[in-house]
Amino acid sequence: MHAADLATTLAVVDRSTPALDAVRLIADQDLVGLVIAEADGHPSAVVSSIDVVRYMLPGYLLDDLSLTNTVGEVGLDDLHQGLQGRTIGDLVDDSDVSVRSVLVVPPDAGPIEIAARMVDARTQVALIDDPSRSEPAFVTLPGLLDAVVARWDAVPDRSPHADGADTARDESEG
Amino acid sequence: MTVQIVLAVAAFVVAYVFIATEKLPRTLVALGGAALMVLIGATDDAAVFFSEETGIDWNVVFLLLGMMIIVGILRQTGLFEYLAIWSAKIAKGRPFRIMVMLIVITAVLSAFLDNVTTILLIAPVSLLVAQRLGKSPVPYLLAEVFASNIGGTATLIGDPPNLIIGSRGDIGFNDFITELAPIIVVLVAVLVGLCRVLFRKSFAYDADRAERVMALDEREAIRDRGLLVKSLVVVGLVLVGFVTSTFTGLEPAIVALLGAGLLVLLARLEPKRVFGDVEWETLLFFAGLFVMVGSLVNLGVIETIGQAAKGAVGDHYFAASGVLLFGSALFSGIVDNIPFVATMAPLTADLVQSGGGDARPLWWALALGADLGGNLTAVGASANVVMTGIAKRNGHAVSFWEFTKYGLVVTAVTVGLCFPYLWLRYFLA
Repeated sequence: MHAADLATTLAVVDRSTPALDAVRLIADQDLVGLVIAEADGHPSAVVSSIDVVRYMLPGYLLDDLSLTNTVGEVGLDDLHQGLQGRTIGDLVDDSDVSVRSVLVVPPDAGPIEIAARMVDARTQVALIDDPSRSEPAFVTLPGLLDAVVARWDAVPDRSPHADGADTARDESEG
Repeated sequence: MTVQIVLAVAAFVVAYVFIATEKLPRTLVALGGAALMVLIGATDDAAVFFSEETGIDWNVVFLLLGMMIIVGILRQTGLFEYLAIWSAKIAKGRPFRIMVMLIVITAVLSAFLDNVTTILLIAPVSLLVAQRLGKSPVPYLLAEVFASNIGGTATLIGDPPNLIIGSRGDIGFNDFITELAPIIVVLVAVLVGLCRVLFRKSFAYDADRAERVMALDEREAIRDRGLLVKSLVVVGLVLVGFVTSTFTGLEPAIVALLGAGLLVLLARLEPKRVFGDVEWETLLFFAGLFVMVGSLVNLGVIETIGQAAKGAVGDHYFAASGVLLFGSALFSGIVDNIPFVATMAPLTADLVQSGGGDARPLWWALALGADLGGNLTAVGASANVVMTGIAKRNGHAVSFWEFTKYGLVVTAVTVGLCFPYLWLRYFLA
């Protein structure tokens, strides 16, 4: 199992993408983060969804969590209003938002290598360095873990029904 | 002049320059300066730890520690957010009325809380309210930081320089209230008038916007009613302890520590939430500063300057009060007022000791000048730095000169009014 086997496509945004569209994209596609492309379309950075939320919320609410419940439903309208006219470029330039360079892995990278590189880079998305592909392909953390768990389940004595707890209970009952 | 004195004075001046210019962390400088004083032989372990005159002033350090613990727990109740939103709603969403309410609340809170803490508590609510009003939050934040520095002057515990003055001058909680609170009440009223003029373009009323302010629910700010009740009971007891300290003989530091201990017992919070707001660096900064100034006292430097000051002042204490008032205001507007007052306190104590009751207003001149002078520039007080930082993080940067433009007016008027107050109250007869 290699990176190429785990490849998936992701929506890519750029600096001119409206922040409201980016939030909608995360919500619609259950994304863990956004891949940000340069003007030429090449993916260059990743911002996690939680950092997009960080950008969406006013700083004063994060400074004082006691206020968060006082704003009521109107607060949601305020969030929408606050994001109007703002773009992914503004988000990238915000010093409070953590935007990381996109992690690049070779097509033949194994799952442990990809996992280790993701942990090292603290990112949940990796770009597969494969010029032969017509559009950028990625490995996402959920996709990677799906593959890892599938591998564990494929081995009979590591299936969920063959764990230590079950064995111990069986022995005591016996 | 001995080599030891030259070295000690040089170390003191260099440390002071580093603190004033903020080239290095102030705590590092103060502790480094203190270490140098010990190495020079200007002080020793006995003086550092056990001398009330020339060592670490534990009354100040533990009073600060106790209050930091109490306020750290109290702020978790949401009480301050409740008060601020409640005041905005009482003002019916009218911008100027909201500013007046926030000024008054900030000034009163600052009299009993550290100014930085007050700003940390009030600024987020102000940003929220200003956003709902569709106004720039900058006038509100500026008004609040001015109110905080003015209100903090009213009590022994309102501003760190007052703690030093109280301890070195043996001045109690009630003395500060009776001597300074009257003029501070006047100055808060004057600040309201000044803000009406200075920020006159910020008060246009919009009924729809006002409705959005009225939609805020202040009751939701209170997340732990049990903790709120316990905290208010302890704060009440501590205030009673401060007011009655003259009769009970309990030092304010002991009262604050007893209150902190009681609240810790009652609150039953995890240590991180109990001690998370204690500014250990600030406490160490004070400790280092006391050792540095105490070393100069040990070597007779302060006494020599004091003698020169006595010669210059003679019995002209009104003139001396004026010089101290305006000089302190100017100096505190430019550099941190804590080291300034720590240095001036032993000098003032010398003058008051030799002049008796007639010279006692010098303490009030020092307190008024040093505390109110903090409004002069964006770096005049820690609360100003914190406020501009919060404003910048929320997309409303306040430049040094923008702050100073307003700070200069507020400081000139407030300090200017203190001069006739001192004359009327202490020197007219």
